[in-house]
Amino acid sequence: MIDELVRTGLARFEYRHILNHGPPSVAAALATECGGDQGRWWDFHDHYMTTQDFSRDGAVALAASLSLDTEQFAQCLDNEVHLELVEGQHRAAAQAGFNRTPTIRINGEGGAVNDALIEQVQELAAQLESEEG
Amino acid sequence: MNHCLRSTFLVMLFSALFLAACSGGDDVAQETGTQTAAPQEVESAEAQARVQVIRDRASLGDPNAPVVIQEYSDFL
Repeated sequence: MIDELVRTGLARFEYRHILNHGPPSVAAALATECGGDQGRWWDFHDHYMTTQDFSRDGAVALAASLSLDTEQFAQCLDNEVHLELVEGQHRAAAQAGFNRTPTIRINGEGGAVNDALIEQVQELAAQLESEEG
Repeated sequence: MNHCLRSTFLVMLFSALFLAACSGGDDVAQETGTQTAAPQEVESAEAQARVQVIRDRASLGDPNAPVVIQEYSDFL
């Protein structure tokens, strides 16, 4: 999908946090954002997609393995620097009625959660191009 | 069922992303500035540069892309 939609310039992908599972959800979201402060947002995202270790120690260990400034990272976690951001995204999603995960939106409209997404985006891009032309 | 769909989608998406990220950006970036680079190397460098440009905090892709895909999700 990345090759067909994003790398071709057809689409941009954005991730928004939903915190449906309480403290573990918040912890993972905060760690990801703290990783993002040091340019490794996607490394944390990928990590949490493949593991279920949402502990503080696990997050700091991951930061260390990525050669991040672990002191800065730990402070970011402990001070919950990005709590307003992640809770704000969750609130906005809830207000919009996006309770199921994942919820996919394509230019603000409902999107498929499977291979059909590629075709859906390609069709929309073609439609937008023809309207501009 | 919902969890399975979610997992399938995310695995597809981020496997591609992970492979792209692991393809040696630093080396290619150095090649970009080499005037004597072969055409294939230049093409590779340009492709890699594009990958690096699109990988940003919580988003991937051209900010001016006509379509925006938003995923609202939980890591659990």
